[in-house]
Amino acid sequence: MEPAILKVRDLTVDFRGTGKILDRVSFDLDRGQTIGIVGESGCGKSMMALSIMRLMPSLALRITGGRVELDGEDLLEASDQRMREVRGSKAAMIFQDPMTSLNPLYTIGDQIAESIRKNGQVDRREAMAKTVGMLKAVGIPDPARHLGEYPHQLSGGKRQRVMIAMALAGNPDVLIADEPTTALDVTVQAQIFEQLRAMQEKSGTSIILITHDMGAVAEMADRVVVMYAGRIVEEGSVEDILDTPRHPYTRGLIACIPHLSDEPFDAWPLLPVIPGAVPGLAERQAGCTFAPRCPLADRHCRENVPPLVESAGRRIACWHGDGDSAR
Amino acid sequence: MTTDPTKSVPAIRTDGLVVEFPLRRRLPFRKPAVVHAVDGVSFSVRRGTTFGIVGESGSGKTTTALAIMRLQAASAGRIFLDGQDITHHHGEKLREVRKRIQIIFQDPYSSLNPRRRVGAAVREPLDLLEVGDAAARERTVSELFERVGLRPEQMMLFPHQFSGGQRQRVGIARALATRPEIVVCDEPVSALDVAVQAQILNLMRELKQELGLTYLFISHNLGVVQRVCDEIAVMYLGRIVEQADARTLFSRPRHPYTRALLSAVPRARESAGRPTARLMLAGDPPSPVNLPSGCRFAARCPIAEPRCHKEEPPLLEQAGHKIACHLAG
Amino acid sequence: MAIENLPIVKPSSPLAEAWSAFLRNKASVAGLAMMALVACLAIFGPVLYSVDPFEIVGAPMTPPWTDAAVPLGSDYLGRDLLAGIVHGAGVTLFVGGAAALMTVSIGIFIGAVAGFWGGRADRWLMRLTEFFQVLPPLLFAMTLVTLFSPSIPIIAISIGLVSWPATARLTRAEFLKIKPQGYVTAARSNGGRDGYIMWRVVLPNAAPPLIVSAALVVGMAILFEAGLSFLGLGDPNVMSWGLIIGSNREYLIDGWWTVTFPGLAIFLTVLSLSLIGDGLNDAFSPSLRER
Repeated sequence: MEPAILKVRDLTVDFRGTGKILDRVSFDLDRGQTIGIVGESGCGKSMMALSIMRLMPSLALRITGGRVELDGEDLLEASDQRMREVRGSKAAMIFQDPMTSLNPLYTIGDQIAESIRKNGQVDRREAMAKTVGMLKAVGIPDPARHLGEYPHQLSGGKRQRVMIAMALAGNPDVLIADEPTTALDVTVQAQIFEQLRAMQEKSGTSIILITHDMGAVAEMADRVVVMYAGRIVEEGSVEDILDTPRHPYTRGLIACIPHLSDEPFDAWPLLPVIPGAVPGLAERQAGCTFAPRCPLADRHCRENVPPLVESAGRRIACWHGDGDSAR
Repeated sequence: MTTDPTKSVPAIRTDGLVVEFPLRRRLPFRKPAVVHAVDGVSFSVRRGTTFGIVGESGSGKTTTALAIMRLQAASAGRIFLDGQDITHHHGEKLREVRKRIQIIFQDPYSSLNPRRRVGAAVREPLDLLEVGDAAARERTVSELFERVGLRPEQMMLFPHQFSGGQRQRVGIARALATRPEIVVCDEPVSALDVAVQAQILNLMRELKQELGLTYLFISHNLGVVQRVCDEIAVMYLGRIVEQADARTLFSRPRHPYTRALLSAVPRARESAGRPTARLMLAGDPPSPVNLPSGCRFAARCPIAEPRCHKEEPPLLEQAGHKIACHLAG
Repeated sequence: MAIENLPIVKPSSPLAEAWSAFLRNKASVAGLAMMALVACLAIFGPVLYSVDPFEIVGAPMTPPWTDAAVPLGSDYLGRDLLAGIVHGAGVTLFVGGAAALMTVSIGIFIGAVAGFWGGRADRWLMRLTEFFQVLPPLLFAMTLVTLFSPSIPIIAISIGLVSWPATARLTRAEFLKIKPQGYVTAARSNGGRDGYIMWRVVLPNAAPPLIVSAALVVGMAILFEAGLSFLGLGDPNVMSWGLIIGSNREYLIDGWWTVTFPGLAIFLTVLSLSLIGDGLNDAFSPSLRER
């Protein structure tokens, strides 16, 4: 059996002629693994998730190239009918804000049951029983009591658990989690991550975790993909990326995120910064998109897009490939 | 700015601050339920320092800040600015106060009036509080734009023509227009991209040093708070549960909630040890409407004892370290 | 301190952008053009075509395009239909506009106060709104017109009095939505008093749906007036389109033109207002701009 359950190759998404939201993005997701996709806003990470699920939010966004092979099947070639079958049973997604992703007019019991029944021929009673089981599995105490509740009656953490229950009800091979804990308190976030890890161990689901939080990635992911302005700039195991980041953007990102430190600060320190801001779609220039903000950039960088080069289990797209050394 | 010879007068002091919101009545003749957003909060902020208030949703930290700014009515307690009791100031006296304490909001997308040019937005406090004449105000706005890293030519643009980080700079410029002594920062960088957060924090640091500001820094991001704040209060369900200087709080946290909070923060490096093994909290925070008797944290506390459910622990101080816990105090 | 290296762009107000979006929409422009035509007809028509609509100039019930003195035919008394339409344009627009003005003024004021102050003021104002809302509009207008005189101003007032509740609700909803926004709190923190905040900060941001609603209210008011005139409650001394239809309703079978032409005029006017209203709605909507 192939180790990779999901193979994305050269995925390209165009925004109505203005520019590419995603530019030839490729990566593999191995079975039972978690891959973290990090980047700031505008890097295309959410669009990637939506593209895999073929849930393009508007007609202006079109997938113009690439392959998305899930368990050997190219999802980009699949018919709408086939995609409906795939969603929920082979690939499922959870979103950032559970309040807007759950239907406020239906009880959570109904919503989870519907998800279960969509993915298999079960009758109502069996679906309800499975629903209770799912709620228990996601760590909601006293699940039977919550069946008749509506989303607004639950706390943020519980709502997110309900979302996870709905997503995993169909036993998908791949779970895509788009900033699942960004809107939650940090203590609840810890609970959710714990829950996801436990469920992954039990069911062997592969997870794509999309986030801007390096800490979350360190906790949950096996591999990390760093994106910038629609392209992958670096990829590697989580240890490699966090301990020895090579791409200037990855380094900048790790340096300027104020993580909790064991060493106390005597006074408010000056933080390292990445100058400037992420360019909008229309402002992206030729050559390496990070060049305008990069401390190492030279003329060659500004004129030529660096290819994604693989070596020793890592990939990096930088003309100054080893970080400090000149080309 | 008044020159205060007695430096010991705190810039801000609250005394038993209480903020309650009545909920809509369910039944006509019953008393309506009450949200105890802030339930007896007392602290002081030394001039020229950064005082942090951390807590999760429902802790009451933002409500506390708004009450101090007199943007939210306090139900009980007193607020002192530079030793002056401003709790019941109204009209002209309150407007004088507003020149001295200003606020930076969290969401750069909703804190600027979309129909107004950003220059006008920054000038608004000067116009409303009648500071200087028209020419002086224009000059001030222009200087403020430069000081926060924007160009004066951008004064004529509208908020939607700026990025989130730039809008936040406009918000900072607006907060500084009346030369306040104190700036309340309500999650000033939480809504920004990570790389931009660092830029804005550096700007705020520079401004603090240049203008001698006192910051009241509200945040849920402990990494930021660790770097930025001199002293920190941890709030839970409307009360302060622990308060200490930054160094002490992060290296020797005593309240179980603080310890749980610190251990819950995902670490970027596995090699970075945690002060304690991860302390998992059970369940969700209870509602600030039906407060449990005894310690509010007892229901989720990993070390709670029967006494904790009956008796509310007072906030006691030991060598500058305040803590409200029967067991760890 | 590093100055942001940004190219200088031209300021672009949300209003200007909405206007360009409006102009890009063909249907809205068509509506605007039609409305302009009606307005021209109202202003210049009576000057260019000065036949008195009440004067009997031809034989009764003359079909259109047969007699040069009455190009669009004559009504049951022999009055010129075209003159009626030309002179009626101004009246119709006036009634529509005046009624809409009243609706919008009362509605915005009540809705703003209720939405902004909340509490008891809100509760009482909403009871008042509900009271006026449940009044059967036609009956109420008929009562007022019968009690006082069926003059144009009374008609405009009675239409205004029954139509304002919807605007009030809309305004209140917008105020409730906008009040918690950061910039409103900022205005208060900067020393703004209630009046300043309500009318100079919140209202301009609440305006888009209210403007759309106003356009539609004009159309509604025109139809309302036509209805009242049709029922014989219009002002008999002023020629309006509704009056033409109303006074000729018994002769409809024999003279289709007496009803069709004024009816067409009303239809096109209200249609143009609907198109404008729709266009404004779309132009104000892309919240991508406001964000």
